[in-house]
Amino acid sequence: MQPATNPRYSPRHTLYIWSAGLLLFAASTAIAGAPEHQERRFTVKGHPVVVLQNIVNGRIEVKSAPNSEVIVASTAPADQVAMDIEQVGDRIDISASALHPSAQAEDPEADFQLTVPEQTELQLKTQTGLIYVEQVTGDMKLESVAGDIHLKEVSGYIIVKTTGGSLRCTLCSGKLEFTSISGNAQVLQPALTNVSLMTTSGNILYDGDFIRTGIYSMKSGKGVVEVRFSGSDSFDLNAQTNYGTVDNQAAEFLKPDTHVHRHVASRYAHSLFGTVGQGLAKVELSSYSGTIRILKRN
Amino acid sequence: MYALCLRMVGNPADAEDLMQEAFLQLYRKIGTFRGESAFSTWLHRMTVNVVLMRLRKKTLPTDSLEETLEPDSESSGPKRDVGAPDLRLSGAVDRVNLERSIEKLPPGYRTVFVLHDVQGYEHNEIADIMGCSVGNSKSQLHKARTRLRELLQEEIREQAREERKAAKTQSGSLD
Amino acid sequence: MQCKDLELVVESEGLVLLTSEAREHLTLCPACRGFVSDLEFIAAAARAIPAEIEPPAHVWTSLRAQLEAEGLIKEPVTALEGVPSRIWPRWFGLRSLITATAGAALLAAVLLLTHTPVAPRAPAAGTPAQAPVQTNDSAPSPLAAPPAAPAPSLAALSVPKAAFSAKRHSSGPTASRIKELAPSPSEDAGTTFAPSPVDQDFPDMELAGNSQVDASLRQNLRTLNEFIAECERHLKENPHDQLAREYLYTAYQQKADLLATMMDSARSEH
Repeated sequence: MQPATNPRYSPRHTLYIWSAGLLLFAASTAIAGAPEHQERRFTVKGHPVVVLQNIVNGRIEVKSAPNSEVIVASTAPADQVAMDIEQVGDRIDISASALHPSAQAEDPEADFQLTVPEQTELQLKTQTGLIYVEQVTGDMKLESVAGDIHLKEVSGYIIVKTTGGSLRCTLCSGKLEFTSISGNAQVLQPALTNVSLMTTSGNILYDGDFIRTGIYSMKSGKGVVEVRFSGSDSFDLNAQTNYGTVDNQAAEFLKPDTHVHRHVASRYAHSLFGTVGQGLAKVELSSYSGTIRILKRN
Repeated sequence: MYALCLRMVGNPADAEDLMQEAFLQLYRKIGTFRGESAFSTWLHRMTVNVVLMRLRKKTLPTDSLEETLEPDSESSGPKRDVGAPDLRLSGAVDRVNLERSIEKLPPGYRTVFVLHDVQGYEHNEIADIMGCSVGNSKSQLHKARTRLRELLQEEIREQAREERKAAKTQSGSLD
Repeated sequence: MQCKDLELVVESEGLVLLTSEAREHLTLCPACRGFVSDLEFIAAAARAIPAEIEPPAHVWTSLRAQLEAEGLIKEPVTALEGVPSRIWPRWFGLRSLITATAGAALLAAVLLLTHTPVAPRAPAAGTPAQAPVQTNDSAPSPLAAPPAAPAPSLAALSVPKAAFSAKRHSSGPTASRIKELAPSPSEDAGTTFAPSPVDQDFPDMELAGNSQVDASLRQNLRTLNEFIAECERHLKENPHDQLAREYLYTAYQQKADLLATMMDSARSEH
């Protein structure tokens, strides 16, 4: 017996309905997984504190504006990332974490753009995304596992800690502390009074002035430590490396150490002590097995 | 607490150890706090004790700790050189020199100076922390400041000597 | 008033509350004036020194480990446990679920619309209406629940994790352990260094749901271990090299921080 066919539907009609259905199904799935953009505003007084813990991938960008409010704009797939924002007084806590970490084939991402008053204290933590901060003058503590950190025209007490991410700090002032295992540090055109840079295998570049009375300590386990100073600088230099070399390209500007009673040359290390100008700042460079390079900018 | 430890021992590694030790003591002995003094005073007393105990164990190159905690029987007074450089006018005394000089103070002077002038404690609180009298605290502070003055004056003289030497060398090379 | 009397006044009263006699003496005696001015300068400069300095983060990590080892504190409950989820993410999750279900229902409706009415067939042949309840290896029904994501092997995770937490308490990288492994120069020069046993747990352990983070953490742990081994080898031959010792100490502290980060990642994941 032959199966009866429905006389109302032609094959072409069937095909159209199937296609429409499939398209709608695909669209609905895509919508369900598409990143959601959210923006929230918080009114603040005085010096607010913004704490952001981004336990998923994603970029964090912070800029300042002359308003007394903190604007948090985020972009993240709602079905993959749990977002939590809370304000208590002048403190704003933001957290982003993966909803179902083990069920996802790809790592979720949450991007943040924060607009804050200039004197905001920041505590930012992320895993792999870039942290970018510009023109914020409050103290800040920035942590990242593998993401890089770029700072521009910031000041205050700046603490940066990464596992593998690198730091680039341009036109920064105040105090800077950087620790990393494999990240590099580039400090360009700074006006910092206190610098402590430590990386086990990364490289360090300090290209800027040494402020009178400042204390500058730069250490790398295996990487290169390079310092470029200007003719108007005045600092006392102490450079030591166990297995590396000291590449002194500014010998004519370095006078013999004027504070000999404070420096004790290690017999296990290649050392260089000297003074530029009146030795008013204190610069300590150290690398276990990397090269230390000192040169004067033209 | 960390700042106090750092200024008393002069190096970050020891300061971190001492701070950790002080916090451990705090956790172990929190049940003994009876509120007779402010909590911060109690905490700082614990910290100072931890630091002073560590300093007692080490052999100090110059003054011993016990000497500096007791008031001198004879007050010889500070050396006041007429014509000594005025610190305020020299412009060469700055935070770096001052912190270096603080490190050179004997531990007892250093403790009182840091607690009073840096941390902002009053003499009665320092006496409570250090287990000494208010008069002793005032005396130690005065001696600390006077000794710092001497150290800073020596620093300035040395800098001036080096500058004169450098100027001489330069003028000699130009000839 | 004599100069030594002024000094006694300054010693007992401080610099602020000088008596009128003392002030008069200062106007007449330039040496005493310079002396008091210097002391005031020192006091003012000291006030400008920051009273508080934030200690490095590894101090807190080491402290916490030590406190847990002594049983003075317990491991904190993670923030997400027991906290009611916010309306916002729950609402968004629901919305996406509804959207996806609507799409699936629409597709099912299309299928039904195009279904050709046929006479009932023998059960063995099966019908589309019965398909949802039958397992079909080649074409799973769209109405069936999506296959569960492959669960991580519990055996692989729980044993190393338990072993790790036990080892953390007994021989974790606390400051005291670090000190054991990196003795001060005054100690016996022949001291040997023992590598931390915790490294052995990590190769099999899934650290985080984030593969990039996982890879970065492992790579950095390798970097640190290599550097520590290098420093230890050097210090075996040159035990009095203070610079190398400082680097080794710093590397141990970095490793403590890294291991704490790895533990936090693993805990938040599982």
